[in-house]
Amino acid sequence: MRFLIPLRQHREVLAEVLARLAGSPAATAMTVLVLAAALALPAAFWVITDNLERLGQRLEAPGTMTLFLERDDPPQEAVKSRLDRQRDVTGITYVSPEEALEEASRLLGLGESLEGLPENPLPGSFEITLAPDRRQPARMAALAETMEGWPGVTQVQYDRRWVERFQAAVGVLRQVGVVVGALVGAVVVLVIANTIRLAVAGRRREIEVIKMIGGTDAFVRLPFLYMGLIQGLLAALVATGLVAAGVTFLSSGVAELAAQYGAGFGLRDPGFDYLGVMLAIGGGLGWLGSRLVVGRHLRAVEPE
Amino acid sequence: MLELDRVSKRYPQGQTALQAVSLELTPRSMHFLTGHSGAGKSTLLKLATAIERPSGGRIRVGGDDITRIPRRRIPFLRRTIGTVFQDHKLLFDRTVYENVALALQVCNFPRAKIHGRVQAVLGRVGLDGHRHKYPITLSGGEQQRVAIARALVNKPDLLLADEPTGNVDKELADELMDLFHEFQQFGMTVLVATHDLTQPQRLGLPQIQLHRGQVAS
Repeated sequence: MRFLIPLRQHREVLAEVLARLAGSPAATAMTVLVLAAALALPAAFWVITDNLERLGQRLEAPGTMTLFLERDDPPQEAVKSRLDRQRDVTGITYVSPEEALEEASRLLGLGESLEGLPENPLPGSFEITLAPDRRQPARMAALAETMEGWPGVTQVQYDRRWVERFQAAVGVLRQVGVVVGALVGAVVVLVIANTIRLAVAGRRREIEVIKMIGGTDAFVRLPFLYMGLIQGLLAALVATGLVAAGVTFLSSGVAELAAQYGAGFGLRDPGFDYLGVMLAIGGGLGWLGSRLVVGRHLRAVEPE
Repeated sequence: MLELDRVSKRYPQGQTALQAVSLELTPRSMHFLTGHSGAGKSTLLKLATAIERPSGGRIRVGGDDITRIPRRRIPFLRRTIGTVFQDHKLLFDRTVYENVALALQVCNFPRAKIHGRVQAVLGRVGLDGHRHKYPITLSGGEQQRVAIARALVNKPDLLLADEPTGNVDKELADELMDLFHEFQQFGMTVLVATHDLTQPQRLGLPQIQLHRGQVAS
């Protein structure tokens, strides 16, 4: 199709744009650094929440769970033998309905008054203790689900509220990161748009000549789109570098702190897929910013 | 090749640049478009290249009606027309070769093909030795030759020139006009707007005279 720009043309334009950016290193560096500083902010949020989430997964809930049995004629021995076969479980204590009632009376301060009930409303239960290295929230949740499926077991309870609170807090932080990211994205688009607007103004004569000799809008537009794209990519690269440097700077301190709490936790460097996402976002925003202004301004430039 | 049928152009501010202008340039003809400044010569050339649009009438270029040509088709119209301006519109940060090659690059010509064509056309206008110079180092007449080479390199059917000799002395003006005359003899349709009335007489070529936006009989 004659409207498409051949690959060879893309290569030539790309080389020309790179030469042009390298030709004014100070201006290019300024733009890229401004964009990189902006992009580093949401990127840092991302790395922080990523690490906190990982920390949350390793947090230990109190390692006890309670299995409530059916009230009428529960298969107590069957459940016991199943529990014996669970390797995660290190301690098993049976709490009979009577003991449960006593405990409840004591806790509620009702003394003897509950003894007047026609029948004991409480079921029997097993209290189990998990091995210390088997207390990850995900693992406990899976175990609880398995045990709830056993015949005779009505409910499995364990205290995981504070872990859930921690995870909720990380979730909020992540949402804040998304909002910051959206704002920064808008900033990046506007900065690129302004840079490209100036570039268009500076090359007005050239655009006029190209239009006069039959250059299509796509042909005129291409170098500016590449300019936005490349500046966005460079900014993403620098931002990723800044965040990685920050992680390296902080990680020894974090590891030391963690060691004092007896935990082997260190900050994790963002991986390669993270770099890929950053490049895609930076490049995409650069292209978008350029695309937004270039069409409108090119239309205004006509040969005279 | 270029056909205007009762074409008029009024600007939003109210002045009338062209009024019911009709003319027809047959293929391989050469005409001068004469008249005082402000008579509408430039406007007519702008209408032919769709830089401006007519307020009334019809314009045809090479058989195609371009009166209401869609924006996206304008580049392809302009590739069939070579245009030379009084201020030549060269790019001063590019060499003579690059200025001329640009006209082929915008048409997506492969590099190897561009090279041969540019060499040939620069030889044609007598600029063989100036390929790698920058336009600023050339004389006014040489600069205009670069502009002519750029207009010709894409082998257009129609060549339009707006006061191409406005900035050069009499001797150079004659040379440039002779060059245009040669192109006509090679089969191109040529229209040269000029206020220099000696040229049509010197070359014995017909002129279309504009007077206040109308064709004077």
